[in-house]
Amino acid sequence: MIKLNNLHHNPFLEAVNKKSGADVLDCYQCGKCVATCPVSSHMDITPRQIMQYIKLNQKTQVYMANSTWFCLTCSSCSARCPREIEIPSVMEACRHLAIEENVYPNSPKVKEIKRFHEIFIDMVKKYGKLYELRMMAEYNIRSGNFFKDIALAPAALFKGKLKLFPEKSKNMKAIDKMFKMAEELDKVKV
Amino acid sequence: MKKLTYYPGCSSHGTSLEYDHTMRITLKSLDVAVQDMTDWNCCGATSAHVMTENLALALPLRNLIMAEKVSNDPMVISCAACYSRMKATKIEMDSKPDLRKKINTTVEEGTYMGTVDVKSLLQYCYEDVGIDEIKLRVKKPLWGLKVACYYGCLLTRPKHIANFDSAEYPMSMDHIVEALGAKAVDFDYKTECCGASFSISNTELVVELTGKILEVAKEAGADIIAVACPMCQSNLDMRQFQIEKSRGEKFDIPVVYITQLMALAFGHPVSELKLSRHIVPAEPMLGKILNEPPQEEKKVKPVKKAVAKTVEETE
Repeated sequence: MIKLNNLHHNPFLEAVNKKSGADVLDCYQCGKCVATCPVSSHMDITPRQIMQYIKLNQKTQVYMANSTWFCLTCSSCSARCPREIEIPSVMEACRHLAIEENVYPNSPKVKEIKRFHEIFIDMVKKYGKLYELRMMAEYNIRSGNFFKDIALAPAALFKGKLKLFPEKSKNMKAIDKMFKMAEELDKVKV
Repeated sequence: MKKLTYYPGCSSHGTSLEYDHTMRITLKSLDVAVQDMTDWNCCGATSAHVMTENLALALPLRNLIMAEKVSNDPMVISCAACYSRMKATKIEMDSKPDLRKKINTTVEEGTYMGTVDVKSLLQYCYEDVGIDEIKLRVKKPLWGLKVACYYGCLLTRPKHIANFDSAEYPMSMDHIVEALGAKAVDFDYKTECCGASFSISNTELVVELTGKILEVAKEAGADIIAVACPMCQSNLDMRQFQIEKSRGEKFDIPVVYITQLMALAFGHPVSELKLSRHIVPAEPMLGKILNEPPQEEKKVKPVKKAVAKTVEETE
């Protein structure tokens, strides 16, 4: 049950506005974002609904939806929003808040997406640059889908699209330091 | 002589080596000197900003600082995603001094000065080099070739970050293609998202979104799709056979980099284009180029439309 008389104090709205730099109260629910969004049909709740949930201080609904994880950050929505709200920033703010509070949707697809991002970042941590081959191998192993995209491998390797050996940044000490300090600032180990 | 500082990005020596190589020979033809950075790191792409706030700014900031060490010339980035991250970080650093101080503590190589402009390769070619200079270098016009120019999301969006061309229906790549002698077809899906970095974690989504782009390109009568981003190229090219299988229809549309088209039109030998690296064979497009300009399309006489008379006219 939503208690409307408590809405003069909306910590979720304040937190999202602060993090995103946008003002969610600008949204007048026209739905143009939903019509434009390439993945809105795959989302549990649409961008328009997310804006409304924020206005109603319903953070759990937003955190538990797959929506912010499916967001492509393609900015099609904000290009067309008549109120010029930076909707991708709002989606990102909600997602970052959820990560800070360690709340994730139960969806297996979201787990896959999160896994991919974590492995990607781990590769950059180890090499300073993305080592694509190892990233794809680790992803396949950790997701239990060993043969994913295996059909692409021969062509990709043969044509030199996937490098066999990694290329490291010249100053790995600087990269290590950056990661340590950034993780401190983020207060979340990725 | 124009100079730029080049940020290659992680795919430049692997997935998009042909883009890196043809970019270098094309810029040489355009009398632009490419200065390489002594060291650079991954920009963090999608993953860093999805999962983190500060790391997502630290990674690009180091690249900005390393570029400033090279010169004050523009930092030009061939990958649209890297460009978007670097530009977004620059805007944050320029406008928020406290944030800048905080993030700069993570970079030991130096202090951010804000002296370098950040541009995408397409933007640099269009704004700094210009269509006239491109036209001057054309030795072998790409007559008869019908090109669907695919921009993807990040070359022109978000508007306040890219601040270049149109977010809805950009024409910069189209103009370059026309300057090369080819025909840029009217392509409704030129800025529709291909699914980007979900290529591995949510492949079905990429198959769906990229499939639509290929379908509309085919309907528009395109021989090839031209791109200016390794991620776009990868999804449209590497996943094309998978998409054909899932849709039960053939596309056979090669996906080439705008720099490969420029290199070809500037008279570089075909071997320099590295077409053999494409998954969907790109060599067939060479056979579609004519030896003379195509015949002017017969002009259709416009049908006189019934127009409602204004109030003044009827009275």
